[in-house]
Amino acid sequence: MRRNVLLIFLCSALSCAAEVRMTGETNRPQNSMFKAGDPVSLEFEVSGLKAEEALTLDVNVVDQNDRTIRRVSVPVKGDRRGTWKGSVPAPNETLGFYRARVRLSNGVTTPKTGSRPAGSIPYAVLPDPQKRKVYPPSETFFGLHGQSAGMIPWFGARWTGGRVVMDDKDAARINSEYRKRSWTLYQCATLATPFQYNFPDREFLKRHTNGKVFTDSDGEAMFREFYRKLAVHGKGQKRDNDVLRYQPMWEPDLTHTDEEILKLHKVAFEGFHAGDPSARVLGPCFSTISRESLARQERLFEKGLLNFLDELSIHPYIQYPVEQNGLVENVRRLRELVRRYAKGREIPIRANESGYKAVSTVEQELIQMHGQVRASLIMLGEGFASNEPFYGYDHDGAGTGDYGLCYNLTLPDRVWAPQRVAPRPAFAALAAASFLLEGHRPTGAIEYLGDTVLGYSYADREDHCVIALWDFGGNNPEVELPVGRAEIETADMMGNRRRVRTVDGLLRLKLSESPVYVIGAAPELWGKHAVKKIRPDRASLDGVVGNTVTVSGTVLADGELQLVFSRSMKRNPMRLPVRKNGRFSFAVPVPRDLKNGSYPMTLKLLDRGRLVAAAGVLLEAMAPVRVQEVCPMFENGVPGLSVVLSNRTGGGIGGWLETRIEGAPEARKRIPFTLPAGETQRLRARFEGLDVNPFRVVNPELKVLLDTGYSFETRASMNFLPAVYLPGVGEGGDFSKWRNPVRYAVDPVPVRSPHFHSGPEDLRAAIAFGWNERFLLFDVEVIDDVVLQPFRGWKIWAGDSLQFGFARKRTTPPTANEFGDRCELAFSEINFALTSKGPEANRTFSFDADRFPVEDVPASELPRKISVERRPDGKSVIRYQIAVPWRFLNLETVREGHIVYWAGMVNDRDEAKQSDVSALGIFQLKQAPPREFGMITLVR
Amino acid sequence: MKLKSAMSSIALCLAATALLSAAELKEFGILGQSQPEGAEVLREPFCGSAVNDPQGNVWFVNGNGVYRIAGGERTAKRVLQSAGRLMTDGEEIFLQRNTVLLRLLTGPDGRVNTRQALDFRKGFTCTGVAHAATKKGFGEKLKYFALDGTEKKVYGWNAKGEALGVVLDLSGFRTTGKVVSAGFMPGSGYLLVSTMYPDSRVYRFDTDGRTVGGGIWPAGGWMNHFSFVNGQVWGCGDRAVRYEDSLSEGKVVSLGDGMDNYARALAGDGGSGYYLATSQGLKHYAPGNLKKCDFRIGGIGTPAALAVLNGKIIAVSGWKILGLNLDDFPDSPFGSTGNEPWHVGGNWVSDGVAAVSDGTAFLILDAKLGKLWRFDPSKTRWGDRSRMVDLKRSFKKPSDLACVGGTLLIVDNGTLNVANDLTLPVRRVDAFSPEEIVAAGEGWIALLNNGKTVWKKEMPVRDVAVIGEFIAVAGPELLLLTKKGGIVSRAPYRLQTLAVDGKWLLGADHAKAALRKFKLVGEK
Repeated sequence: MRRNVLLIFLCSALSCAAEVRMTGETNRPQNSMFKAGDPVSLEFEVSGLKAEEALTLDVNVVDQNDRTIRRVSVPVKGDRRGTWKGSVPAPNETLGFYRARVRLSNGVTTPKTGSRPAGSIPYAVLPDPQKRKVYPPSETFFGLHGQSAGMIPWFGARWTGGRVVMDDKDAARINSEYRKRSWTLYQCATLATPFQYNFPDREFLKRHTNGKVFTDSDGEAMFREFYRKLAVHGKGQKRDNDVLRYQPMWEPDLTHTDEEILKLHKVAFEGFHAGDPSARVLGPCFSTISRESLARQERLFEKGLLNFLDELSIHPYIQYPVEQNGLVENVRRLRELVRRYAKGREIPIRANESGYKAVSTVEQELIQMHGQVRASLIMLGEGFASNEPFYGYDHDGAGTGDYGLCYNLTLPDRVWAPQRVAPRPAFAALAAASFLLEGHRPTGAIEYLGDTVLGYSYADREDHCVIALWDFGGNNPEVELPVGRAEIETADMMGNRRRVRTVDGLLRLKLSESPVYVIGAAPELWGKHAVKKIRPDRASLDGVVGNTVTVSGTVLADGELQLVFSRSMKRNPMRLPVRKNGRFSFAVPVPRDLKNGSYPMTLKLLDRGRLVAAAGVLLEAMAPVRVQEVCPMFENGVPGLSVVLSNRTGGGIGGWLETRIEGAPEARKRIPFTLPAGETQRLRARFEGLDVNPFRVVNPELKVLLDTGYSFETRASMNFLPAVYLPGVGEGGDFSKWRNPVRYAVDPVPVRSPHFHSGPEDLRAAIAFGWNERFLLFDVEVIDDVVLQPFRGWKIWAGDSLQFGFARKRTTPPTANEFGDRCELAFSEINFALTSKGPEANRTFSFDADRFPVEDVPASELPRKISVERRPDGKSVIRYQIAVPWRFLNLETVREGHIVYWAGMVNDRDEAKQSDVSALGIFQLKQAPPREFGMITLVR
Repeated sequence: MKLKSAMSSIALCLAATALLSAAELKEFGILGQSQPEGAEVLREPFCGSAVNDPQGNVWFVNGNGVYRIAGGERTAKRVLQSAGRLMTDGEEIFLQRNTVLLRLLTGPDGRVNTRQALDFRKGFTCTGVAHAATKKGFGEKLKYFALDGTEKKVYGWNAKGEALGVVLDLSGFRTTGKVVSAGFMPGSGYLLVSTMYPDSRVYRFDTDGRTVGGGIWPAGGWMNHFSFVNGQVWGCGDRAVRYEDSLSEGKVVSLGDGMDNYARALAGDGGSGYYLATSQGLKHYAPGNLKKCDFRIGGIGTPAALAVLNGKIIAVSGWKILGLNLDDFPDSPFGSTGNEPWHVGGNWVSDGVAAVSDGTAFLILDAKLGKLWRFDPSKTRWGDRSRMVDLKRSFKKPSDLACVGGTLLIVDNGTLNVANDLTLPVRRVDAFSPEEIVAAGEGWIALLNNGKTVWKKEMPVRDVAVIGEFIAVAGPELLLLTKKGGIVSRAPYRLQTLAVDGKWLLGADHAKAALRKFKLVGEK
């Protein structure tokens, strides 16, 4: 009885507390963006209060680092209706991002709104949009991909995506609307494809394309005509643009072959220029700026892609920290590739997507902010023509936050073009960067102030110089920078300025991961026409370890020139007396034990001990030979390793490759090789007699020893699982040609709910693997004491079934382009079972839900046979024959030696009331898939 | 029904026989011998000295021969049938045999002849040759020198072999460690003197007999020998250390993997790498990695006992234990140090005659001391006495042991330590199980079951080893027997001692100073 009373009391107390509700917004709820000095207030409404109930509202205003800026406590007392309304003034003096963390003393807080977390009211104090200048397109860098709720002037974005319409009336209307706007925008028509316009109609596209590109001459003619017509219409829709820019493809590296990319750009280039000779064609718009992406672009450039482009577009997604993941190096490589293949043409590079996904936590938002800002500063500093960070606002249906620079407050009801947003820290920091730097172009990189210090100098047309500097190593170093002023202005990452005195023109700065801006540095030092007193011949040098590189150049003043090495190089500085207009040359031995990587070296010119000038040279250290690829192979059934070595030097190299697998003396091989300069070679190590479980992961060790005595070791991870070539098997669901499949026994130790598994008598399984040009093939034999599959659809995993995971790759260097990464891995999971409906296949995870929905997969797409046969001993044999089309792994074609990745589970249910299935496992299906998947090697 | 069953049984038996008879020991290469097939064998594991000739070839001593390796090659050629210690002055090569120093001269036909350069006339603690190109300091007059550690004096001779008397008197030189070696510093012409523990330093002395300090001097190191390589002097002790009057790389450069006890000499490899002469062989160090030996030149001697545990091999010769891996190359460096064998147990007199793995470590039967030792090479801490443990067993004349199913079978004084019906003296033993034992003696082999002879055959036997369901027999050739005694395969290898790890059989081939590796194949 007493317990019941307590329960009633508790419920009542809880229900009372639950009735109190609080809402809170800024006084500018559309976007919570203010200029400095604008009144900012936080407007609250509390309801459900009991009469005369007194609570306290805690308002803690923090910055992007979660540091308190102002904290107030406000009494909250309900009126007769139990409501309270009040407003709290919030900081508005300094530029930046602010987040009011609000909570009533009874624990009630504001609800989660869209992707904005509960208890949080973010706002930003930003540079005044009215004070922003308009520069011509050639001097304008900052853009924004996706915008709404009036955010764009606050951000200072000029470049955005656009669309040319084919209907003249529509065009006139849009032009008219546009004329009413006061904000100048430069737009690229970024989805200029017949598919977007259904040109000429769906039926034609179905007949003459493969859904990506035309497949016959009629299709080609129609594509060319489309581009021509679009360009003709575009001439009347230029608005603020000097010329109209068209981009015919969007991240084609994820979906198209090289040939498709080439032929489409060729036709687009011809078509657009036929319609408008001044039109500019952008492409190829690859999804990352990784080394792999650059390698593929180089292949395309070699094949002439740049002949069909006026400007190069890319989505330079790269993992944070951008510096350590090679953004600078890769941008420079890209520029160098463009220069090399452009045949003297000037081809600007534009980024029309880049960014970081961040769920709404302080830590992730800081990464997003630092990543976005520093990537933008690097792109501007390295000469990109423009950059459009992705994306103006969150657009994830779940509202946990994704790429948005603003919270989307209308999720999940309205994903696109929300009427209400609120800024995230990255928005405020990028707004400051665009305010300080728009109109400026790069005048040099500053890489010599420390191993982890990076910066750039920029100057506008009046030679007004701004320098951005930061540290990306977490070292917070103090640096000295010559600025040529007795006093100078600096600005923090949010654009707040202060004046600082220098010592003899040297500015002392303590750096952090947040860039600092130095505004108004002397143009004779940092401007467009600054006389660089040290002029290295090359800004970066490739150095093969053990060899010597030469750092050379010219100096324009007398003094002592010092070459200061990166700490990792463990070398004392080299010194050289130099004369004005003289040449200098340092022969720098690249230490043999230096790891692959970039090592900044600083050239310092000193006059009687005083720093006169500095310049940086980057050493790219590399082993003379690179192990480019290591993978399992099978030669006439004998397993082995296939290893591709490449020679990075300008001379021939000889040596040995040694292999080892622990516990397998058969795998100990020493293979001689000779590699001509710059060439690659595939070495094959056959492990005669190696008897290894195909499902066991081993770690072969490789040692490369060169005749010069240089050696290095590396290790791979793999398993030796062959899939045999079976032409025709699986076609039309016919598996009869697969005779006597060689099945490998699955490890009998269960990986799931072992308490429901009673040993091999309960369940055992063996799997055979095959392939042909169309399918990846499986023949699975499961011997089960009780066959039970009471489910259908997505639940079939909970009965007797197979759960198979497939992937094109096991890992891929993360690029921050989430979709691109997913397509690269192409991980999906499909479950198979014999249900009351027949042989069912159900996709439970897809890398591209548009192309491969998470649902039942028809047999016409995924041929299979599943049968159950009862044996005399009472056990049943469940046989699965499965043909998985290669496109399910995002592969167009496969060949002998190709490797794909797979993991599986054989699930077993013996009783309907069983709370879980037990399962045998092959590789690791559920552990961070597809990282622990096994390799299937296609053999003939 | 019965007939069918019987037929099935016959078929099964036939199939089983066919499978068994398909079994064989497939040769899988050699270990411990760096010379390729067809080349002259290097007999010994250790290398006492090594020098370079002006062409960059390396000369070294192995066993009773002087060998030469051309720059960039790995195969050695014998150039002289003579032992001794090689020295160089940077130009010529000398070989010291007892008290006589011979000059080695290569004729136009490539033959190497000797001519006496000097007779030291008595044994010295250390002898050396001055650097030929250095005419400063001691180099002005001195060509040969010898340290008498007891007298604490360095004697000298000029290039003509004329005695210069005491060139450096160290009797007034006080250190906490005994003077152990003397060397010559190219360039400055100082004499170098090294002391042993606890001082463990290298001192420079000028011609006035004064120590020369400054910089790193006196430098660290207990060096037993000094070598000239590319005009620089290196001290050799537990590693090789380059000594310079002033450091050219800002630091003292040393070479060695910590397993070179003891280094005797250093030579260049004709390129930028080095060869270190050590008790573990002539070990090569590539220029990029002076801390890790990448290959070794030498043989493995004549091990009397072998054992394998999880791919780790020990080869025991007298008091020495060498460590190898089943998947080594023939020229892989040993995994042992030259210093470890019975060291922790303090046994420099032991004589290992048999070894076996007990599943976690090795048991070694010591015929000299009549003891059984448990050797655990994973215990690497210096002075860790659990590395070598005396199991407190005593034997009269032990000859073999086997360890199976927790039972230790030991042959001592011709008798097996379990009850059996054998009448002849037993020499070797192995077992399928504690009950099923293979025993062998002079000219016979037998299978025992619970002490009773199941079968006995006459054949020459040096060692026996159980592998899978078979018996490997080392003798004039390598035989594989079934449990019933039938020979299923034979291979033309004369092996002395055997060891088994799973499907792998190892045998010591004394003629080739190598271990031979075989894999049991065809067994189902």
